[in-house]
Amino acid sequence: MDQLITEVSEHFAKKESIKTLIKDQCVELDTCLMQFGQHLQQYHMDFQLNELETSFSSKLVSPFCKTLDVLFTKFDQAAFYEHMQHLVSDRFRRFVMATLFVHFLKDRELFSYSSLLSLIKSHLSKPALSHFVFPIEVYLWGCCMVVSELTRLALNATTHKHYALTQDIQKFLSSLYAGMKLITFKNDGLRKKFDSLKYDVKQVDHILYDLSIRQLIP
Amino acid sequence: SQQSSSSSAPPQNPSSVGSKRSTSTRDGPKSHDSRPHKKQKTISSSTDPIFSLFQGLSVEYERLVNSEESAYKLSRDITRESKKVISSLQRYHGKNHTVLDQAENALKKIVSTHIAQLQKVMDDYDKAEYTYFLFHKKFSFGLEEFMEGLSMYWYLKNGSLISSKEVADFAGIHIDTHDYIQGISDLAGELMRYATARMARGDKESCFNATAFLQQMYQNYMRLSVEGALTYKGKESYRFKMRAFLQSTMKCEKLCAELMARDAEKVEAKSVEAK
Repeated sequence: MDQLITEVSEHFAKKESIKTLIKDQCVELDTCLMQFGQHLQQYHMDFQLNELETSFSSKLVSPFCKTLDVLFTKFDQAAFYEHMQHLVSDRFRRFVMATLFVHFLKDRELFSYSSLLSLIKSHLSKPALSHFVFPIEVYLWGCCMVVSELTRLALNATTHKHYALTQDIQKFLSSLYAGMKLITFKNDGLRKKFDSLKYDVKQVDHILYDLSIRQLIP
Repeated sequence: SQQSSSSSAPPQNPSSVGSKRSTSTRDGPKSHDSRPHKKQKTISSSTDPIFSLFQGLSVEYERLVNSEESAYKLSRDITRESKKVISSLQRYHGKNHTVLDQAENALKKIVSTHIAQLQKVMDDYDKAEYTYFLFHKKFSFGLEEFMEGLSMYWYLKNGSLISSKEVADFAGIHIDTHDYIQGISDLAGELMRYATARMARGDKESCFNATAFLQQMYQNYMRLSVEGALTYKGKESYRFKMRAFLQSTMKCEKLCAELMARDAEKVEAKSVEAK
C-alpha cells in the first residue's frame, strides 16, 4: 500500500506542476487576446482596417504563436489532450475567431483550416512543429464565433452607413452557414453554438431587408 | 405558369438546398425522392470554395465523432460485463472457488474482447499515444468499472489490494492512474454489500476482514489527501469518491459493532441462564 500511495502522490504532484506551467502561459495568451480585443472593439467604432491589421500581426499573431511555441516545445500531442486541451482550447478558439474576422475584412473570404495551420506553423520552432496540434473542433468553434462577431459588425456598419460591408457580411455568412450545415455535429456545446447561428444569420438578413425596402441599397 | 423547370438558371445562393431536385416536380407524378430535403450533404454543382472546404472538414469531423461513438459503446459493454462479474462475486463465500474461476475467466474475456477492440478503435484513428487521452473521456467510466470488478476479485482471492503492476500482469494492459484510483474507490461500496450479505449468512469473519481492509484503505486515502494528491483541484470527483468511501466504511464498522453487541448479549444471556 505504501508504494501505491507514493506512486499516486507523485502522479498527482506532477499533474499539478504541469497544470501550473500551462496556466502561466495561458495568462500570456489572455493578455494578447485582450490587447487585440481592444483594437477589435475600436474597429467596430471607426472601421479603420489598417490599424486593425497592424495590431493583428504585432499584438496577436506574434505573441500568441510565441506562447504556443513555448507550450508545444514542452508538451507533445498526448500531453495536449491530457493536460492542455481544456485550458488552452478557449483561448485558441478566440484566436481563430480573430484571424477569420480580420481575414474576411481584408479579402472577403474564409481563411481555410489549412491556411490557418500554415500561418501558425510559420511562427513555430522546429521542436514545437512536431508536437503541434490544431484540433478541427477549435476551427469550427472559431467559425461559429466569427458569425456572431460579424453579425455585430453588420449592425454597426449599417449604423455608420457602410452598406456595402453589410451586404458582403450577409453573403459571407449565408455561405458560411450553408457550409457548416454539411457537418453532422455531435450533441455538445459546439452543436448548441451552431444551432444559435441561424438567429444571427436571420438578424443580418433582416438588416438587409430593412435597407432594401428603404431603398438604401440596390 | 410553370414553376422552376430544368431550363431555369441554377440559384446564386448555395444555401437554397433542394433546388436541383425540385426541377422534376412538374415532369411526372410526385415521388418521395422529388421532395426537397431539409439537409443535403453534398451539392456537386456548387463552386463556392467555402462549400468544398466544409465538405472536407465534415469528413474529418465525422471520422473523429464515429471513433468517439465506438469508444463510448465499447465502454458501455465493458461496464455491463464488469457489473455482471461483480454481481457474481457477491455470491462468493470462501468455499465456492468456481465463482472466482468464473470471474477470472470473465475478466480475461473483457480484456481480450472489449478492451482489445477499444485499442483497435484508437489505433484505427491514429497509431499515436495521444489518442488514449483524446478518447479518454469516452471510455474512462468503463475502465473504472473494470477496475472495480478486478479489484474485488483480487481482494476475495488474495485478501489484498491489487496494484497497478499486478493489473498490468493480469490483464496485459496499462491503466491510467486516474482510472485506477476511481476504480478502487468504488470497491468500498461493493465490499460493504459483501460484508452485509456475509453477516446475514452468519459469516462474521468475512465481515470483520472486509471492514479492516476498508479501514486500512481509507487511512491511506487520508495520507493521499495530506500529501496533496487529493487536493488536486481539477478533480472534484476524487473528493466525492473519498466521501462515499468513508460512508461505506462507516456502515461496515456499524455492522461489526452491532454484531459484537449481539454476540456479547448472547454470551451474557447464556451465562445468566447457566447461573
